[in-house]
Amino acid sequence: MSMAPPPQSRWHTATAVVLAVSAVAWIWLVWNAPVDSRQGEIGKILFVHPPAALGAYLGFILTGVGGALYLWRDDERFDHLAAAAAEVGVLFAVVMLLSGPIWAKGTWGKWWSWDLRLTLTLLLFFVYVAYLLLRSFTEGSDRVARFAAIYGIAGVAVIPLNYFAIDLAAGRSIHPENLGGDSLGAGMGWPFAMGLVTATAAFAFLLVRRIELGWLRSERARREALAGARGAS
Amino acid sequence: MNVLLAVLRKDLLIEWRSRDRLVAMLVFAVLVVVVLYFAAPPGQEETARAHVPGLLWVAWVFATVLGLGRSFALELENDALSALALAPADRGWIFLGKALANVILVTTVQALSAVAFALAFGLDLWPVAGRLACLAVLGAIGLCSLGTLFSAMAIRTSNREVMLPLLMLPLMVPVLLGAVRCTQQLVATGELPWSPLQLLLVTDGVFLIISFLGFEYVLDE
Amino acid sequence: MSYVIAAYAVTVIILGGYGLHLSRERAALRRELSGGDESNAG
Repeated sequence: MSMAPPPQSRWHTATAVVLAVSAVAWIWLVWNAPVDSRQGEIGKILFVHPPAALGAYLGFILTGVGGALYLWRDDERFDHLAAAAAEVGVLFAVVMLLSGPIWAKGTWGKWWSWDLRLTLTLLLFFVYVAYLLLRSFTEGSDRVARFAAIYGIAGVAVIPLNYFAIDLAAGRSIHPENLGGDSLGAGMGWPFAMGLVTATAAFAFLLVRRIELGWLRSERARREALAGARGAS
Repeated sequence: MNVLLAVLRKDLLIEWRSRDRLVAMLVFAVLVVVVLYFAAPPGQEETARAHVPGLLWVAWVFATVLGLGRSFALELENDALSALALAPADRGWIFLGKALANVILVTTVQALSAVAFALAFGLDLWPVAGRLACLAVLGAIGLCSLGTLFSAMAIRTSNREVMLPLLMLPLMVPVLLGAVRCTQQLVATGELPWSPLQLLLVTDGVFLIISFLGFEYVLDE
Repeated sequence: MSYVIAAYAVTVIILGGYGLHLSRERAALRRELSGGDESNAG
C-alpha cells in the first residue's frame, strides 16, 4: 500500500514564503509607524488586534463553508478543512481576546468591559470551543464530520444575527468602529494593511499544516482499523 | 405532515403519562428563582424587580436545557432512535414533531413559572399577559429549534449532559437578547419594542430553517 | 510600551507555539506512517 503524498504539499512552501516576507514587512512597518497622537505608543496594538480578529473570523467562516461542502459533496477533505479552520480560528480568537484587553487596560483603564461587541465575540469564541469539544467527544469519523458540519453552519449563521444584535445597542458600544472615520491616523494605513496581510498569511500557513495533520491522523486511524481487522481474521 | 402529528402525539402522550420532564423542569425553574433571590442584594425590592425579566429568561433557558437533554433519551434507551431514522418519513417532519412537543412543554413551564415569579416578586403581569405569552412562545421556538437538533447530537456523544448546554448556550444569544429586551420593555412600559422583536423573529426563522434541514444529518441509520 | 510588547509577545508565543506543536506532531506521524508502510510491505 503506497501512501499518496498529502494533497497540498506545494502549498507548504508557498505559504511559508508569503508568511516570511509579509511578517518582515509588517514588523518593519509597525516599528516605523507614527505614534498615535491621542493614544500614544499603545495605539500600536491596533496593528495586531484587528488582524487577529480577521484570522478568527476567516477560521469561523471557513469552518461553516467546509462543513456545508462536506454535507453537499460527502468528501472527507472538506471535513479536514473545517476542523483545521476551527482550530486555527480559535487560536486567532485567543490572540484577539488577549491583545484586546491589553489594549483596553492601557486605554480604558480596565481589562474588560461588558460591551455588546466584546461579549458577543467572546460568545462566538465559545461556539468554536464547543465545536472542537463536540469533535473530540463524538465517536466515529463520519458522525463527527456530520455533527461538526451542522454545528459549524449554525455557528456561522449566528454571526450576522449577532451583528444585528450589536445594532440594537448602537451608540452604546465603546469598542472603536471597525474601519470607521478617523480611527486610522496618517501613515497608519500601511502597517495596518500589512498586519491584515500577515494575519492572512499566518492563517494560511497554519491551516495548510493543520489540514495535513488531520489527513495524517485519519490515515493512521484507517491503518489501525485495517490492522485490527487483519489481526482478528 | 402526518409524521409530524404522529411524533407530536407520541411525545406529548408519553409526557402526559409520566409528567416527569414537566415536573423536573418546573421545579428546576422555581429553584433557579429562589437561588437568584438569594444572590440579589437584600432590601432592594425595586431594583430586584427591574431584573425580573432577565431572571425569568435565565430560569427558562436553564429549564429548557434540562428538558431538552431528555428529549431523545427515551428513544435511545429503548433503541428506538435508529428506528426513527429508518422510518420511511421525511426527517424534517420528525424534527418538527419533536420540536413542537418541546415547545409545548417549555411553554407550559414558562406559564406556570411566570405565575410563581409574579407572585414572588409582587409583579402585576396580568395586563401584559397576552403579549408576554407571545414572547414566551417566540423565545421557546428559538430555544427548542436548535435545541432539539443539538439534543439529537448530544445524545450520541460521550459527555451528553455537559455537551448540550455547551453547544446550545453560546448560540442562544440572539434569542435571549431579543426576548429579554422585549420583556423588559413590556413589563416596564407595557409596549412591545419593534427592533428586539424583529431580532427574535428573524432568529427564530433562521434557527428553524437550519434545524429543519440539518436534522437530516444527525440521525444515524 | 510594556503593554504593546505584551500584546505582540502573546501573539508570537501563541501562534508560534501552535505552529511548533503542529510541525512536531506532523513529523512524528509521518515517521510512524512511513515506518508502518515498510513493515506492511515486509
